[in-house]
Amino acid sequence: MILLLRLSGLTLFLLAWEVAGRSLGDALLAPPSSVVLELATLARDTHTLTVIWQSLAPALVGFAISCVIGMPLGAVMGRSKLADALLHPWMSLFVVTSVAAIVPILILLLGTGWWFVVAVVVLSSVWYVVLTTYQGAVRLDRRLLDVGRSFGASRTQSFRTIMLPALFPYLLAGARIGLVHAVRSVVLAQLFILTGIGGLLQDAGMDVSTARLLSLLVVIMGIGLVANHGLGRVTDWLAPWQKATEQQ
Amino acid sequence: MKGFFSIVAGLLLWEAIGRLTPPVVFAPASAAAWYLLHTAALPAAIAQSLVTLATGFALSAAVALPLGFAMGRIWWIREMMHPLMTGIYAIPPVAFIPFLVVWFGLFQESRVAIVVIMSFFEMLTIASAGAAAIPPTLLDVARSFSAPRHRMVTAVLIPASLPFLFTAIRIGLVRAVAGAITAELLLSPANLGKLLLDSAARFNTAGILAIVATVALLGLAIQQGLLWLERHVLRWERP
Repeated sequence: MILLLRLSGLTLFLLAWEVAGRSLGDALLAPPSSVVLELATLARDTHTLTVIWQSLAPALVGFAISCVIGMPLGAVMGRSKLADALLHPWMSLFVVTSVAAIVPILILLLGTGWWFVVAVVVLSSVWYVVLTTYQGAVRLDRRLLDVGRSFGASRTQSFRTIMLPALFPYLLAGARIGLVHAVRSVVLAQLFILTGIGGLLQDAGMDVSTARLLSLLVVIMGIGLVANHGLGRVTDWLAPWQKATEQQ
Repeated sequence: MKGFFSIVAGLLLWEAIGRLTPPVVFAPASAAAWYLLHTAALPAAIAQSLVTLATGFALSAAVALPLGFAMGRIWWIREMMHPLMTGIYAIPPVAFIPFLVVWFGLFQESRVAIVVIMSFFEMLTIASAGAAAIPPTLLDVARSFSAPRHRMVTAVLIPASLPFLFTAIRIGLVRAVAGAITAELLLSPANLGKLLLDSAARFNTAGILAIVATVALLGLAIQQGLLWLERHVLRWERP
């Protein structure tokens, strides 16, 4: 029954799109039937596929850098009053700042190469990783650490056996939000310098027909869904006590 | 107070880095402040950007909040909309820009449209999750006292919804700021985005950093302003 409803929602949307697309014409809104045909062409176009594939590399590298910087930083902020007082106001400021606003100065500093895209990805995803890890570190039960101390655990021992498992679900949740933002910001960065996916979108926008543009959007949607739900699945598997996919 | 020290320390660090590096690379905070005070076009640009932001946000909220509320309260609407919304939400908002240009051109209409797309799904998700989480006991109590329908809405549903509506509006507005500046940079440059790109074209890093700071402060001011409003309106929620 629920599956039926879900399918009917999608079907209604596709039908409305098809009708609207046919009456408005390909130039304004290509109907799903043409978009599917275009997707088939796209799947055979190795050049486009390579470009999309190569665009994901800076997203993954940037995401990895965000995790490496963000997770320890969030943990330190959550456990140290000084670090929190010094850094938290800036974290709250950066998380509300649009990355797009920082792009022009990044172009001046780094040019428009591969590392520019990585920098945009890091600057848009690292705050989410930091703040999510921070939440976990703040909520860490004092008593757990006290037990460790009473049994004479060293700092590294208490970090490895108490803090890390307690933080684990938050690390994964932060990674997931970070990855979603990494994928988003790659498209943003590439639209500024018109390479990769951004370049493809820009070229498709120049076409008379919107079929190619819409099929690219469908491909990007697929990447976004895989990034979000794929990591959600991994989270469930690694930390089954904290179901991530059920929360939404 | 702690926040104040942190901000001062950060500004001093910015000033120090700015003085140690050549001005074409990174200008000190004082130069950015000087730019802010001596740019005549700035207030008008901020006002224009705010108009874009407010128009887009209002359009977005007018659809997202009721729809989110319906998705949270009525199960078949939720099931019908959920896969569709998840799918569209997975597309980065900026990816719609070339498509929006086809539909709305390069100017104000397109900018408003980007603000709408950037803020829509966050508000929808929060409103829907919040509406679904309204405690059923509240409704049950009203029902056992056989409250008429309009009393049910005014006395139970609206007060129970205000907290998450505030959150949705706050997050939506912050996203709308991001949407406005993104649109002003990526479409035909306008307002704050134009000032930013003009500064970049002249290697005027003081100007760039000043505009970035303005955008950041705008987001922060909206966020803190709404948190303040929330605390004053929702007195009963205070611990």
